[in-house]
Amino acid sequence: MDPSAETPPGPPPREIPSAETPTPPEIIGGMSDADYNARLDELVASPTGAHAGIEYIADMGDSYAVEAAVFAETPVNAPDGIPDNVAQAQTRIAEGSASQRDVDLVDNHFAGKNNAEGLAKAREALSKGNATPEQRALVARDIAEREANALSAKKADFAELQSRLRPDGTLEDPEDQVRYTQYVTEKTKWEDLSQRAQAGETLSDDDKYTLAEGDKMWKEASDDTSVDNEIVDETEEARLERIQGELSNDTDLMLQEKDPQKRALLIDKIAANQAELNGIKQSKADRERDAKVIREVFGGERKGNLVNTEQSKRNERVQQLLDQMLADAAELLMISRQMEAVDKQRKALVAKINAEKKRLGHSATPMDKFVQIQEVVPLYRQLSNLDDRVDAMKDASYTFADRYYSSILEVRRRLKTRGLLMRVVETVALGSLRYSADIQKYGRRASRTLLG
Amino acid sequence: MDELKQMTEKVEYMFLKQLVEGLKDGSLQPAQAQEYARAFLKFEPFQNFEDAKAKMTTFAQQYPLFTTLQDYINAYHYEQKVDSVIQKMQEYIGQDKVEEAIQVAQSE
Repeated sequence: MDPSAETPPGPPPREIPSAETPTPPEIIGGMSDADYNARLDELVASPTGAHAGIEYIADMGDSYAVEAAVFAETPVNAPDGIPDNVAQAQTRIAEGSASQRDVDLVDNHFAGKNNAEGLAKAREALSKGNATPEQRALVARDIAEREANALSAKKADFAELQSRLRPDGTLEDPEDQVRYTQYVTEKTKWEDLSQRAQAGETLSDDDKYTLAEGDKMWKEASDDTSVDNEIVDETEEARLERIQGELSNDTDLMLQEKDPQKRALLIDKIAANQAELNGIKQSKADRERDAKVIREVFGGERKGNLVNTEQSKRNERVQQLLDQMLADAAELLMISRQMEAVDKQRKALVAKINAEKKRLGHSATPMDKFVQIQEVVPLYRQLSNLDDRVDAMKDASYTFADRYYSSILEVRRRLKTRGLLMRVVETVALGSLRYSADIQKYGRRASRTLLG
Repeated sequence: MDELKQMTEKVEYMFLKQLVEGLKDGSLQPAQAQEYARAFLKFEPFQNFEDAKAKMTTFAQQYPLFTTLQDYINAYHYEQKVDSVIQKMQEYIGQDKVEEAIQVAQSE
């Protein structure tokens, strides 16, 4: 179904009306050029319904040219209360063709409006063109305040997410991950636009807007990260040492600090550093464990540990079985790593579906909802495909694991010893196969059999 | 809100939107917009769906620019049906029953 079928095929909308709107002073009728432009710029969504709007146009007097122009710049409220420009932005978001300005527009609209009586009166006065300077200032302050709050919340959120990044650069909670990825994408786009602007390229109005908005959010952060970039090259040992030093200093400072706000900042920094420290230690331990498994199972120690023994020399079949076990273990390892990767994709997809479902709840019109449902359904199909892949991989892993398990039993029977086999089980089954619970289960089962 | 009122508001909204867009991009002169608005108001109020259909057909014949309004009224019941399908699909999707949601869409 074509979403555009809901609305009449009007002429293409202009990009930035205020820059192009003709403002001939002679037809303004007492309103100064500056006031006229200010009115166009500041006019907020009026609660006028469509019927009243038609009557307004029908009853335009001699100065109708001005009135029509002003009216044309006033967002029209749809019957469901969503201003026309917000509804259009929502549609573009649903279609995936939204600009940053669209996203901001929708965000601001749904962020909730300040309903303080004075502000409401000031807005009404502005829409009628008879606001006092104080009322203009009040509305301007409110807009500036809301923008500043939103920006500061966004900065804090980004910093907080960064502090919780795991060593591999991901976040545990899929929803956090989706939000963090959006920030990174936004930042990348801003960096690209900055470079293009610096290179003297002419940017579109949308790009200029995105760049200006991005400057507020990323300029300072980018200056900060230049310091981080210098640190990236330091060795892991040096990084550990630096973080431990910072932790120690910050803890001392925090204990002495009287100001609650500064204390809270220090606690945040300590928590972030502690998380980073844990991450480094964890990744180091993981790497060491992996290296051990690889060395023992697939690397140089293989001969000495598994094959080049008195017992194995006596039995070619054992040699063959051990080789087969290693090959099966390698397959299992590969499958388990693939399963881990698919699991990550699945989590990201589930997060995306949840976000879409949440958005579905806030949709403006039935058509918007329909468009969004059309988006959600393919996501579920993707999810189902991923689940099928996981099932297929599990089936394959069972085949390898079954053979692996049979091999262990046979080797045990032939060698009549447990020492060597235990080493195989420990290193291969319980070590390298730790990624998948299902495969681990086989390793444990084999282990129990050998022990029993 | 009754159906006729709902439909009327929707048609008014679509009409006003077209006027405003025309004024914005200069394809419509204010005097023309005024004429269309006055003509439109003469057709109101609508007594019932059939009355609305007949009036909008006449209006669209007089002003072919607004044939979409006629199309909308003619398709109003179909739109209502689509709304109900969407509602059912939403309920299923809310319960994670995607296959059922797809079936609803396919069966309608």
